[in-house]
Amino acid sequence: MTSIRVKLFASAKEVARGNSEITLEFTEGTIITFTELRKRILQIYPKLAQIPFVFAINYKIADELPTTTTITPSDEIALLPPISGG
Amino acid sequence: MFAVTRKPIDISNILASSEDSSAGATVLFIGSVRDHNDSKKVSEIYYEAYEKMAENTLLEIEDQVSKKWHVKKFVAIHRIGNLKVNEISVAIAISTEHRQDAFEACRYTIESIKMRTLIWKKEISDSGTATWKDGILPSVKK
Repeated sequence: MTSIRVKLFASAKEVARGNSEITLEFTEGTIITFTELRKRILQIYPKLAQIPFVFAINYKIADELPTTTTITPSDEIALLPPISGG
Repeated sequence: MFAVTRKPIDISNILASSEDSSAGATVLFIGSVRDHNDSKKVSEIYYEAYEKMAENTLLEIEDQVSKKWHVKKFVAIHRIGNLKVNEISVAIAISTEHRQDAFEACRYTIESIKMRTLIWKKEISDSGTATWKDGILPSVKK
């Protein structure tokens, strides 16, 4: 199995029962794209579908990366709901 | 100078850090917890950050603002954790040669912090109800 860890924040963390990081398992050899990641997260936490979010990969927001971008276990992935600082 | 901190913000330190003998103007912005929002009473705000990315963004803002408005000193500090009403959540102090640059740079900085920095706020009422504030979806577009 390939494990991908995803950091969660704010409302998304609450949906995941307060876990600031979740681990998603994929069959070895699966090409893991952000589309696959989103699908898997929503299968486990369907209530996350009510929260708009984007991903970050290695401290960069991933919203304009090609859909073919692949994710590996060494990538730092974060799920980011809408921000409200300041 | 910029930081995301859990410690209370000390305005005298912020001002001291913004001093520059070649500056003729310093603008200080203080953001603090208000006791109401959308006609609901607020007793506390909880701020959370993706700290590494938030600090990266503050660095980018510092670079952009410093170049555009010929800034002498730039200070931007955002506090996270639980803050009560009147406590300071964000402080910005910018010194420039003349006041127009200082006002514009400071305004741009707080607006950029609100639009781009990976920080989230949850409003907590007297009754204990807690709501994450609706906000802006992060984007790589600046």
